[in-house]
Amino acid sequence: MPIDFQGSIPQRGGPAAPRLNLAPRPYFTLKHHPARWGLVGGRIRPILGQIRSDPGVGGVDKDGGTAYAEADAIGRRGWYPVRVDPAEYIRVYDGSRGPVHLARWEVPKQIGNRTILKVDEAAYHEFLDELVARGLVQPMDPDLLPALIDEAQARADRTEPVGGARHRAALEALEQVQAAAAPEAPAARSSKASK
Amino acid sequence: MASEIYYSGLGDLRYATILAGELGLLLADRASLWRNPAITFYGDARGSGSTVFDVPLAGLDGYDLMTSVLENASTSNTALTDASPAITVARQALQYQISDLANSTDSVGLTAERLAQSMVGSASMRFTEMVANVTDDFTATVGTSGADMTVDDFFDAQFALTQSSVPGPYLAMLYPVQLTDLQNSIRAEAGALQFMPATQEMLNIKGAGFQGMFNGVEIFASSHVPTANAGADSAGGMFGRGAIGYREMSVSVVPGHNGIIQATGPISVEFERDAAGALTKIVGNYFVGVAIIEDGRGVSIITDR
Repeated sequence: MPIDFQGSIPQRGGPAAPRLNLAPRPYFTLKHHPARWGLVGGRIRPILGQIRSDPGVGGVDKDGGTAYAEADAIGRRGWYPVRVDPAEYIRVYDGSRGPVHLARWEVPKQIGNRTILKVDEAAYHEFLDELVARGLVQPMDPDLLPALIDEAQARADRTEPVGGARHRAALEALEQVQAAAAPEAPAARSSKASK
Repeated sequence: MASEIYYSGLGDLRYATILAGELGLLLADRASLWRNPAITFYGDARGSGSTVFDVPLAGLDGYDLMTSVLENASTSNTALTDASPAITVARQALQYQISDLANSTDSVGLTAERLAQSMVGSASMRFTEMVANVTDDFTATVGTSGADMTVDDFFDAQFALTQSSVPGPYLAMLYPVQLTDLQNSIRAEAGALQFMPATQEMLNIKGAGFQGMFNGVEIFASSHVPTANAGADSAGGMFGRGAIGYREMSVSVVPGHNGIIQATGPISVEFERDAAGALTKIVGNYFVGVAIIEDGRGVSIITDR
């Protein structure tokens, strides 16, 4: 009785297998500091930090354990862990020298031997807003706002004699920070998108 | 005419290609902050009893001020402010393996000895990467996500340190794009401000990554500066001495360390022989930990990557 075999498309293995041409980057979790807010995408958003599972860096132990690092960041320096499922923020790629962990919004593309990272900034900004909306990051204390406005105002004043693009950017930033002080502040356009 | 001797006819007497006599180096960032005085060294962990080292910090010598009291009033105790940030030493390693055939046919200097020598550079750059990976972790930040670094971001960082009474001199560690954006911004700056590029003499003292000085701050560029905001930005930093510290551990030579060729400092390099396979492993180990010691002495500079 004749038998028809059907092959499957092979995955290229061995040394010829495609691997991301980036240096290894360790696994990381997210953390937030209540005082670390700034203009991200044209609005005041949290500037998150990372606890990287990188032995020897910032208190991470020989096995990549982050207990000391977390204790130091949380207990001594006032950070808070952002308890979010890794599937929501991190991806791992097979790199030529080891695993490369990237944020979910960084998408690598290899063109020849050059690697570019495309960043979906709008999606990342949405993620930040969601973290605040879900209570995983506490909203900014309103008392931080005057200091941010002062800084933006000082920069606008400082760049006034220089004028040009720098002064315009400083004025735009000032407007965006001031907009955050207004009740029901509408979302401003991303500075990157407006370039 | 006939019987001319052409190159094309000498296939058996000429090589298809030959190697230059000198081994060149592939492009890589070799700008190291190792032993830079801006980063505090906290000694050798060997024989200390732990990989974790607490740096004792106490609020003395002017941290607490005296206050005026009445002539006949009793004073009360002032609580001593202290902190003990930890540096955790961990192993960093690199291994090569070369066969006797590859080693013995070498004509350019790529030998087991050369691979062993290369370990120092690899350790040094790993140290720099570790330092870069803590500069994004300062609580204070300056810069605008998605916007190129300008001289204003630089001033904001310097002013933040000055306003927090951080003693200088300051060191700025920037991603190369941040540095070129800064230089571009300085071009438009009016007045007496000037970027002082590194001279050969300065490079000899401070190493290849030193780019120059601006407004009294040393600037160091490194491609190891990490990203921030999901890759949209770079997170460099500016800090004073005491912000970042490190600790190393020299290796105790143990029985079986027959192939060790370097074990007097924090880097140990040894050969491991596989006679049956005619192979030689070259293994470098470096035990080091880097951490932020005092958060208030530094500021992260987060601008477009």
